[in-house]
Amino acid sequence: MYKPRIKIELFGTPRMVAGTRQIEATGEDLGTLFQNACNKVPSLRDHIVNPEGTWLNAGYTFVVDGQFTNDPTHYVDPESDVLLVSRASGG
Amino acid sequence: MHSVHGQYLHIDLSHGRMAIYPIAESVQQAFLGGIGLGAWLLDAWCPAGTEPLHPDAPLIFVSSPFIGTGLTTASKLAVLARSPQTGFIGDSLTSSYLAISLKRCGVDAIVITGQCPEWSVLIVENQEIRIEPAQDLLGTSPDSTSEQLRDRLGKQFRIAAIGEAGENLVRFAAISNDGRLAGRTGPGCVMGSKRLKAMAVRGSGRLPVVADPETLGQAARALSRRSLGPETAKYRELGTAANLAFFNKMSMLPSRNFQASQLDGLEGLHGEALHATHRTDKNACAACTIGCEHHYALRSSSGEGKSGSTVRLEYESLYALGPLCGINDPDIVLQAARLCDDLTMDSITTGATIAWAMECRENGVDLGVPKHEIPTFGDGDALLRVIGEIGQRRGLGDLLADGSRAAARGVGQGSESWTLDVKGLELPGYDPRKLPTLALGLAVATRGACHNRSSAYEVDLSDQLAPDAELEARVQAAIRAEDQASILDSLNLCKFLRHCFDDLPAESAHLLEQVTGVPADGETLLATGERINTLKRLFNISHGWTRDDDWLPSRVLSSENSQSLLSPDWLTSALDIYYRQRGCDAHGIPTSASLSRLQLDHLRESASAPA
Repeated sequence: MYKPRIKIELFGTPRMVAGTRQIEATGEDLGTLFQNACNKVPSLRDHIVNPEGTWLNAGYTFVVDGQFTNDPTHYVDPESDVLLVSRASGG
Repeated sequence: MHSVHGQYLHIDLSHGRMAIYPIAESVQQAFLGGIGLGAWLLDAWCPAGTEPLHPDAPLIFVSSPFIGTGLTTASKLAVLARSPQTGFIGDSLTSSYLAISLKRCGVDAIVITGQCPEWSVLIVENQEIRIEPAQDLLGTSPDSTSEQLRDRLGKQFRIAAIGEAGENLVRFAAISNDGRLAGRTGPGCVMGSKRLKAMAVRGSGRLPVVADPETLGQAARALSRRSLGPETAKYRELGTAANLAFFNKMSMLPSRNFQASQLDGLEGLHGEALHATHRTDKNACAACTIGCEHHYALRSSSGEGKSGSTVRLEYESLYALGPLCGINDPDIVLQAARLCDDLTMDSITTGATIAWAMECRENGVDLGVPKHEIPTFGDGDALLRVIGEIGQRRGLGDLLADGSRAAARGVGQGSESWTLDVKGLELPGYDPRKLPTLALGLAVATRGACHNRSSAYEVDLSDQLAPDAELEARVQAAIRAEDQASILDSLNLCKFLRHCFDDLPAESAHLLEQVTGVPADGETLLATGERINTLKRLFNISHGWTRDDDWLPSRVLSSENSQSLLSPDWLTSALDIYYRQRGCDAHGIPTSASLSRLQLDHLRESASAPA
């Protein structure tokens, strides 16, 4: 079955750790997309995954189409603008 | 009450005298320390009509109960004055060993009034003072001043100093200590007006004991461990410069004097790129486990390195000296940041005021100098030249040294419509047109457009509120962010620690109880934050504030930016709700019922300055 690929644009630590600005992975929701992205770039797991290995740790968040979300069931499709960023702001 | 001395030192520079005054325990409980206690002292020592640069105007340095307790980041020093830039409250925080040294002197604060007959250094050694000539230090950077003074006086001395900008009464001059700046609202200008080049402090006394050292020790170790977790990873690994690429992507990056919210060609300025191309090492403030201060190599624009020269760079300097001025050359931005540090002036106001001048040039506004001396957007060499002129009040710099609002009022010609400030303080690098909670926070912030006193960007840059949330809820969130910021600012803790708490007010209250022995909970601490914010508002009212001052720049509210979430009607409604929720009348004046509820009626009365 055809699974469309979704681009995740990385910022900050995720970009440094992955060594790339962008990852492509499959998934219909953020949770699946995230797991598949981590399978593709395992170095992400060491930095941004929670101790249970299931989801982002407290330092990171997704932004989908301009909206911040930490909901792994959030629907995504190939048209979605998906960003993975540090949660901490301020400067 | 443990971990405080219950007294402060007043120094009169005009007569070389000092005196010690008590601080009632009720006052310390009500205002904690730092910005809170400082606001109470400022309210007492700076009555209505006291001009910011008059010798009678106070310059205040404040410690807190948390200083010296082993709690990570608890090394902030609060600096307060009536701002010569805004005319309202001026409050800044800077991390340094000076805060600990001050507390070892056996006082919780130092209030300085008067004016030295000649340029001087104030030396505070425990509870004795002396004033020495400083003519030989004029024109030197704070780093150099500090080095010379510590060589002369001893390494145990900690130094707060001004640079040339403070000497020349640049209205947004800062005060530097340990290389960190009390940067916004111009405390360095007030220090310069007192002909005080530096203050050297050595405290050799014991720090006051805390109430429950064993429990506090455990809590402090747990907090330190958490400060090394994912909540602060961004600060430790990349520093705040990491904001730039993301903000640009989100169209939240003010560029070319807010004419745009996004700029092409900034890849070289991205925090991630700077890390790879320029970063040399990093440092931590006194008593801090996080270590967010990243240093970058200084090179000429041709790529030639100056051996060993580095500069620290935060996002706000990167924004203001980079995209806000249309600059995308990292070497220029780093040199500009270093110049601001050496001259010791607020890099946000510096960049924003130069960006205003650049737009004046675009529009043919006469700034009283030949046109070719006015910088254009993207001209890095001109940026560096004008920064130097501001610090020395030469040429165009003399006009810009008063900040963008004052400069625009001076030259007119329509240029007032492209100053980007609130209450005379220029906007930070978060475009409020995309951040509505922050927009309200910037409008009502007592020291002017300040992201640190509001912290409401936290709400916008998270999933705390739905984008279409009711305005009541958004205002409530802005108020809570403001009160939480006041708690941190009055305990003298770093805001980068805030994500290390699950419930910041409740957990801070537990720490406060372990430190002071005074029972506290989250609700009472939030009420303390509200009290402090209200007192700062009362100070402003005493100095001429009206509701019109809680307003955003016309460019931010105009419909010219199609992505803007703001409008004048929106802000009017938000302010109406804000004042109601804050217990103010429709004019933004706190009601007598509010003052009574917050005990500010009698706490203010007890604050009259000793004659």
